[in-house]
Amino acid sequence: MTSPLLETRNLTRSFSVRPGMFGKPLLLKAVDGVNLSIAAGETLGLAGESGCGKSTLARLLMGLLPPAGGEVFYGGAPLSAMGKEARLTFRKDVQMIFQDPFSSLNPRMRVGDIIGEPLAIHGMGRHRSRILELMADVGLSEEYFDRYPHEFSGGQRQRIGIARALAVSPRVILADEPVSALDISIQAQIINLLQDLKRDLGLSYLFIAHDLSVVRHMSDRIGIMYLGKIVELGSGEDVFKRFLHPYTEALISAIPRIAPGTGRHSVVLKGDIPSPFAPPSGCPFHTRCPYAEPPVCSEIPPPLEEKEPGHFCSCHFSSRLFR
Amino acid sequence: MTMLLNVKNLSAHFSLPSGTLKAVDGVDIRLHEGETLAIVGESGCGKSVTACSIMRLLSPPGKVVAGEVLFQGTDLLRLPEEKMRRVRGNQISMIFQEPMTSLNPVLRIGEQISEGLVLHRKLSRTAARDEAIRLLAQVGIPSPAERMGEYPHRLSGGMRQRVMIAIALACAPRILIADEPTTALDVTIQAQILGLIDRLKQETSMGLILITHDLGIVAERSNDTAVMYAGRIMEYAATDELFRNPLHPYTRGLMNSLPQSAEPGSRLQTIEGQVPNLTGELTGCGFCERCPDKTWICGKEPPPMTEAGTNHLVRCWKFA
Repeated sequence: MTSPLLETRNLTRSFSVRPGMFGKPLLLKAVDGVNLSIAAGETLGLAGESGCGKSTLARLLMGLLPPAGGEVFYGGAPLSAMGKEARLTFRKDVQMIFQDPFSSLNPRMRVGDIIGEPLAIHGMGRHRSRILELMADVGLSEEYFDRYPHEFSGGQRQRIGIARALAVSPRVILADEPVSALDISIQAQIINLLQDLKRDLGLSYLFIAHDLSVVRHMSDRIGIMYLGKIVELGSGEDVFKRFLHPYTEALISAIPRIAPGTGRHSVVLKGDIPSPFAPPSGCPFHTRCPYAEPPVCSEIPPPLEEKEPGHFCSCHFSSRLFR
Repeated sequence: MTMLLNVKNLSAHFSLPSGTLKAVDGVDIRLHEGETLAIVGESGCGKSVTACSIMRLLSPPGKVVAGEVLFQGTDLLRLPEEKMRRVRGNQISMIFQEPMTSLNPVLRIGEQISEGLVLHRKLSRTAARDEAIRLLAQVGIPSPAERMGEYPHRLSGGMRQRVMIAIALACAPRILIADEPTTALDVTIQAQILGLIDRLKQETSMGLILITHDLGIVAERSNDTAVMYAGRIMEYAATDELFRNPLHPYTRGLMNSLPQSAEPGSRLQTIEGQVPNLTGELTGCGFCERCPDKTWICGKEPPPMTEAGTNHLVRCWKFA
């Protein structure tokens, strides 16, 4: 395997939240001991339900949040020990695309200025020709250069956001729910665009989405998160066709399909996602798991283990349940 | 099967400074007892405006300008507001996408459920309380008696949507309109809520209008489907038939642009272009700008709704 471009080791981050004005602060473990790596040219997909920590993980990877424990490595070097120069390179090489195309663009800036701003920040020269080239790359016509964001639809705005991320020729793009606010027909256009750019520019993606069929389509490898932990990690085929974790099974089973009656059995989970302030003991999933066996599952946290080559899972009974 | 709702030629327009926006333009739908009709389409296609028009909840600048909404033989559009109020929430109920904004944040959930029971079913306060607890239990809320005193912000999204459903079903309506009921929820919770709605529908044999943008939900949960685009129904068929044999180029485009329809990593089919501006005169077919199959007539004359098979209507010149 090629050495990873971006890597996390035992990454942990919690937030202290005070309920009301006088309450005792509660600790929320948003990301809890996560080990991930993204190789050059690879797309790592990350799926999970709201509050599982996938967006916090992206912000830790960007260096927007300092971790409470563990470390982010870029090109083998730890982020916390980077000097000014190396940090600038990191900031240029790792860019982000956001979910909401309406709130992530400055409404008072023109399209050309939005796309050109990162070029100016990194002292790469805000040349009109370079900006027009970027606009052409993402399928925006030249005449939009002097327009404002409000004049565009969601899909067009997402293209502007992508052009801005590409401006400084990054190597890694962290895309946090980049298509979930878009209509189906527009979603397909943006997915194709992201695939084209990856191929043409040799980009790596961390692709975060709650829609599993989109994650499956985009990703080489997929990680499934639950309450701040990775519970399964493997190739797209591993995770979708040969899953080893009951949560993954339930997530895949819950995708509404346009070809019904294909003989799949539907696993409907009982109960809500537990509060991240008081995560369950033992396996975090045991309160909703249809196969949970107390006291093992409720007391012993299952480690994330390599059960098959390149296929990781944290479940005490995975081999008995799925093989 | 008894017909519950027959909507004929419904049109709703918005008077905007930039002109008249024809949000709904001549929509016909029918709903039978115990059946689910899915209305599917992308944002701005008029699916929610259709629902609000049926409920007479459209507020200015929106206005229903033509059509009939026949509910058990009565045209709801001609009822005096006072009588309409007895239909709304009582015989026809609606649940919305965002359970946080459609619940009153300063009222305990017990009071919000009891309100309709006292108003429509003329129950006493104590009887309403007992009935509210029963309803909360019916929608699967654990320890319902204790939950009665909670405020909405204390509940999770899924639980709030359960409360909304309990309120909507409090008066045993004949029709439930669910406008994107699970769009704000996680997939595992979505499966729970859709299962709950299905079960309650079967128990009461009410009719369900399910408005969604998710074709998967349509395929799994409905009997009939209306595909809307630019204010018009483009294709209307039994759901099995529609997914087996989609005819309209828009329907086909939507289905083909889903990642589910393609090999992982392959190129997705797309519908090029964007939804047309609905202010101003739309000559011809609303989809013709983006249609891969358009011919000379498509931009000139609107295609009529044509019967293309049993229980299968399509609005496209290819089949006219």
